[in-house]
Amino acid sequence: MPDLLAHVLAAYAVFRLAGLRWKWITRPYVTVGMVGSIVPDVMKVGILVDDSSIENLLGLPFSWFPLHTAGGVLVSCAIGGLLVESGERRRVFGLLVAGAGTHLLLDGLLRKPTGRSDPLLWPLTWYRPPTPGLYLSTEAWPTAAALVFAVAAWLVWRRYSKSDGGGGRGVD
Amino acid sequence: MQSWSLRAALIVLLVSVHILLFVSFSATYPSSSAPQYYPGAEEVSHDPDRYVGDRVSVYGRVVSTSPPVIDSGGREFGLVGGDGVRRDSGVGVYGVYREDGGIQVIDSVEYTQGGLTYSYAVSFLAGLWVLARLLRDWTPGRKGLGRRGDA
Repeated sequence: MPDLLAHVLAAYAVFRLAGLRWKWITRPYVTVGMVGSIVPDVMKVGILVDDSSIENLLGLPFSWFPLHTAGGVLVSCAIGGLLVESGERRRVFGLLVAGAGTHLLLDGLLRKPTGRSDPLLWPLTWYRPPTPGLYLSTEAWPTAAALVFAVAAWLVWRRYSKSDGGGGRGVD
Repeated sequence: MQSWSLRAALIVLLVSVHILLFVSFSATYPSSSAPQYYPGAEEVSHDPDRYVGDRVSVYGRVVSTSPPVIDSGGREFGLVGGDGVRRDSGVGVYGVYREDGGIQVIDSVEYTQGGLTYSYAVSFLAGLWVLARLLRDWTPGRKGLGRRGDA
């Protein structure tokens, strides 16, 4: 999607609602999913240090873009999984990957001049899926839509988690 | 796996895999003759005659609006059919490369300066929000990050 706030709001909504089905997805795990939704945008480090500067330094072809692909995301999430206690590792890795997946999915809907998205599934394939071109990364309305989705998800979670006798307390 | 030395070794290994991906992505990037891939500013500038009449995909910044011209890494392209773009906007153009060095626009997207500023600002806020949640929900310990508690 658009900006990082929209990604994070969408991830919040998805994992908050997922917590109604899978009770172990409590607030700390929702946070992990939100962190996952940021992972592909680590590629933005390229704004600070561009590809050509690194190429000149290393004398090798170089691109930060793999951070924004399925392959790079899996490696980044595996690093994230190693930073937590061993008992949390599988859940954290899974939620990071799922959060990053929401990011790639929403980015696959971005408007592009060629009508084709980026090779998000690399290194599996160089295929650039067609994009419906729903929005630009600089538009505000997708963020507003994601905010509505997040608030609705919070209200639903609060309503049903209370009736289950679990969660539903605090501001979250 | 509790040992930090083993974990550190695995993290170093994974960072090495990242570096391998950074290099291999760039080294094996499909040529512009591959389906769904189009020559960009750099390729077109190296051998303009070769691409006359071909479809190209160029990103740049608007440096003039009448006529519309974009600058892409120091290379300028006039846009035919690209009226309405705003100066200093970022523009992605898909079109046919012309003999006069311009691009006949088929489709384009414009990232206005205001839109970019907005995007960076709210993205920064999102980063702060997630960081605040992370600090509240997870805490560093001898065995790694652990949950503070559920809600």
